[in-house]
Amino acid sequence: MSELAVSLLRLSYLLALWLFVFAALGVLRRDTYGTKILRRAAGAMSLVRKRRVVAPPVPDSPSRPTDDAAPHPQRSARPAAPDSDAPNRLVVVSGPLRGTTLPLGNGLTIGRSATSNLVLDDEFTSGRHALIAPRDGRWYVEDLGSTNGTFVGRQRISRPVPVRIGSTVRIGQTRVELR
Amino acid sequence: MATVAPYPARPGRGAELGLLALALGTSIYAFAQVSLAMTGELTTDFKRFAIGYPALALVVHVLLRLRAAYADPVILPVAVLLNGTGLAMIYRLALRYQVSQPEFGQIFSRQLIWTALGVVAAVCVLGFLRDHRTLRRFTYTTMLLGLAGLVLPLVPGIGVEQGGARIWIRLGQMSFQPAEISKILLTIFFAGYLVTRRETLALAGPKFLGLRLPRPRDLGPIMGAWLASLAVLIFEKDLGTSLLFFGLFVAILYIATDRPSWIAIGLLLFSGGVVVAWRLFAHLQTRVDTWLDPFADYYESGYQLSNGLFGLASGGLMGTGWGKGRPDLTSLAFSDFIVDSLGEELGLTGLFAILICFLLLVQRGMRAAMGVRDGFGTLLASGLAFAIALQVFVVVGGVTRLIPLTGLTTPFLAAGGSSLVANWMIVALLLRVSDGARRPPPATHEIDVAGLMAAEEGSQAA
Repeated sequence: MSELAVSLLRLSYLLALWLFVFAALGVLRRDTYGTKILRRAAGAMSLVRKRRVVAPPVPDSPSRPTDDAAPHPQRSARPAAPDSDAPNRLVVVSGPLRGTTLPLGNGLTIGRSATSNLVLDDEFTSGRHALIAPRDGRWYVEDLGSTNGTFVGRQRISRPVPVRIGSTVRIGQTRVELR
Repeated sequence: MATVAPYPARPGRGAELGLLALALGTSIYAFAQVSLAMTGELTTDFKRFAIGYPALALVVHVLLRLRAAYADPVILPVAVLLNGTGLAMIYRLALRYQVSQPEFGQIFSRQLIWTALGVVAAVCVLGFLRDHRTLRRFTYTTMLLGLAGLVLPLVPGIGVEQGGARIWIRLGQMSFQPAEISKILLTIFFAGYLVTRRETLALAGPKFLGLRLPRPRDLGPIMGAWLASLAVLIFEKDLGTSLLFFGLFVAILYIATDRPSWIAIGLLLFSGGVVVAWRLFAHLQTRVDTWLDPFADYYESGYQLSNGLFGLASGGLMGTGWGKGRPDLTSLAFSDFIVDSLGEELGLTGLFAILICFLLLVQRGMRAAMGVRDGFGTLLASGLAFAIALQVFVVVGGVTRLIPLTGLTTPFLAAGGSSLVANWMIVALLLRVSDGARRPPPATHEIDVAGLMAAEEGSQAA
């Protein structure tokens, strides 16, 4: 083989090797996953659309006007009209976020991950820790397989448990109540 | 105001197939060059490789499509490229040894069989292990098996001593390093054990020089790991394995507790152990002397390391090209010194590409660890990724004279069946964890009201 052919073979192999490296880096760049920050208008829409799958919507959800925009015959047929007994907000009664109030809407997720509705920056909280959602007019809290558990009163819950107004749910260092 | 929303996760199997084609193409191209440079024609071994190796890689790819559709798309191609490059270099050396050292003539065909067995092992792990959390149930079983693997070479009759270290067992014709499998088993144990103990170990202790130290009674586990690694060092005389296990434990401990003081304590304990061992054992003193000046005793203890360095030097920036160098002049050029062999024929440019491939593999493991939703998976994936990183550092650092040479194998590249099988299993575990990390959580979350009612009625009746 000529000197030139040897050099060409040698350099073309190194080129192929680096081509692979850059292709892999390219895949990683396109493959970013995790969370993205959206402007409120666009983000709220997509979140609401997802939340609708989570649980049947509750009529009085002031924070999500988009809910009422879509006609929804089944829901309007429902008798669960504004009820003075029905809780409509979640209040953090102790912990770092004490005093925070969130509208319950169609249900809330609580956890450390940025996608939760109530984000708790707490070492004792799991990424997706607990879910608070309505079912047949009652509100339930469910643990989503967290490491340190969700407590209603003193009891660590292992299945969805109904919560009433004023009953305390403890997650890590935070206590929340439905009001 | 802005809100945070998840990116839609993409399975990435198409990207994986593309990268796999590149990795296979590069490996086959390397093989063709070796074959042409050494024999002047495309040998039957080349044809066997060019057909068999893509088939093996595609089996894993198809299995991933079926069983772990969201697994990381970069891990498998990187492993395929590294293993293929190692095979090409071993083939190149085997062709040379058939002339000069016939006792090593079989290294290529053996490595090819072990590659196939490694892929089969990976397929088994991916096929049978549907969720990495299953492994947590076997925390203490894996500890027993892992420790058994560590002490197996000491059993008279099956344990063999080679090159001053007693880390092999011999079964018939095959010799095997059980420590390679122990590495995986003990990573599972460390992850399972520390995920339950991390709160205790992360508890506040006295503060000293800006480091929060653990309480004395919480030192138990790290002392246990230290004594075990010292036992390996003293009885099996293998600094590399000892360093790997202790380093692995300290790394997982640090990741579990988020406390830098564990690293300080670990380094202190390990350097203490090494200093004592260095005073006691002559072969460790030789290693250190060779590291400080390999040319002082060139024809005896420094021969291998010096020749490896000469190889790297003659490779230079662009290398001599496949089959054009003389890596066979270094003893064990196909196992401990394969990085020097690759450096000679591919040059610094090629060696850096290979090191970046290792970096990618480790980074993808760490990324899977960050993304996965359970603590056990985090510790498992980061431990396995760290084991690869530490092993590459110890080997490449050893042959390039950054640190004293210790007997560890280069993952995927070096000839050695146990290492290859173990590394393919690690890749399978990382793929499994990354699948768990990237798979989007189920969109609907239905509350099981019927079950709830039944449970309530049951409790009322009771």
